[in-house]
Amino acid sequence: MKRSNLPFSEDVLVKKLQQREEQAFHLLYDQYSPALYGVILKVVRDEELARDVLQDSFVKIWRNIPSYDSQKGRLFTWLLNIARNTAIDAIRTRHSGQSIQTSTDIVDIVDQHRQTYQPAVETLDLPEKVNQLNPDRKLVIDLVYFYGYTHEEVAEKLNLPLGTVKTRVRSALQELKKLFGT
Amino acid sequence: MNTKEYIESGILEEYVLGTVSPQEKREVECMSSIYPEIRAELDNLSAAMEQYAQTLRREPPSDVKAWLLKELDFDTPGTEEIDEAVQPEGQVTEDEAETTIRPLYSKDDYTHSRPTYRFTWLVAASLGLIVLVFAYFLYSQLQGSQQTLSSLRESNQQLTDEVRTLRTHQQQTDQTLAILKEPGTRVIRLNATDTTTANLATVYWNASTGQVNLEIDSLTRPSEAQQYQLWAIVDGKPVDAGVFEIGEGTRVVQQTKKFLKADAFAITLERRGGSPTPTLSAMVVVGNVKT
Repeated sequence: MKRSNLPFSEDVLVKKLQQREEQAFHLLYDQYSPALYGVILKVVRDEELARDVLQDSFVKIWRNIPSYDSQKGRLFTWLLNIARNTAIDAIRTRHSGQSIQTSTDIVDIVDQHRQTYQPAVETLDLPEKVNQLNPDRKLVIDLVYFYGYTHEEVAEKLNLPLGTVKTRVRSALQELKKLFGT
Repeated sequence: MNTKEYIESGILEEYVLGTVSPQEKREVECMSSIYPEIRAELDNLSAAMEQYAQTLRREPPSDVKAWLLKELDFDTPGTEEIDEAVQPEGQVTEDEAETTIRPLYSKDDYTHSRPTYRFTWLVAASLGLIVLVFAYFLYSQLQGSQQTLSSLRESNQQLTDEVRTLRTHQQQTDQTLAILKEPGTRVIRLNATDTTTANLATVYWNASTGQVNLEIDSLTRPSEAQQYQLWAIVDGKPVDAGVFEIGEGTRVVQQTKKFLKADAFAITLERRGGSPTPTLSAMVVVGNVKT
């Protein structure tokens, strides 16, 4: 696993981060910024904005790290949520007035699906796994997780019953879990 | 609690995808802290999303890290390093200590203190305003008090005057009462000769002591050249009973002349100093003892 390149345990890293040690910040940034940047880019689809969102995300991470509690969840998940929420907020502010993306955006997202499956060199093995995911299920995860859609919005946009969306969200994640299963 | 049911409800998936309400979020966090199997499932789902995120890895622009290192506040670890960092500044202050003592504001501290400075001014300004308003309030209160005081003083003066008048009246009444109480005192009403007004004066005559007291009720004040003169009619002849003044507040006049016998009393208006015989045409009042 990639997270194991730390010279000490995650708990120690968190403690050092909470003490605002610069060395710990270097480790955190080097370890997680590529994934966070990738997620942000997927959400905002604009390199200039993604850059700003990444900066904002790390400012928030730095500000909120003292309240992070490993008992409540994994560090990387916590970091991802901050980056993702900041990115979703950024595009909502940009399209202020229209909190929900228009249907043309949906087309973009679906198009993007086909494009993003060119694997980055460093993570060659992983995208193949993602490709094994049922495209319908993957779309649901992307809409909810990366674009901040509620289940109701997904149901409306994909013209599906709400129950189906809920089932699909659950099975999508279960499938993802199996794909990356440890 | 059926944890299997909870796990299969889909709430954990929703939690991981961030679509739960704040209340559901707390619930999931609570449940996962209690039940290890829920925690394990949550971690597995989170790990799956983490893995998915890893597939999206992109190297961020290099200037982001530089910007963050400049902007974020770091604590320099270890006491030795802190000492080293502080030392040069400490020496500078020691050198300057002889002349002036200045606070050691770094550039950062200064910018941090700006809002505080402004806030201090705001507080000072509002305090000043409050003091001004309060001073004006006190001033108007003082004016009000002064007005009340002067009106109180005025009414106090009126009351004092009234009390003085009443006291004089009281004295006169006491005097009259004392005369009346004396045994043998007779009351002779002197009525106007033209009979237009009644009871202009009263004579209290004590036949046994001969003492004559005159009470003026409503005689008009004569001119400076004239004076009222009281006469006692003894055996058909008027005998001088003395002149008297009508002064302010004096109502009972004790005459010095005494009469053991008298038929009537009369008052005439004579020239100042009195007259040996009464000018009957100028007789103002008369009162018969017998009646």
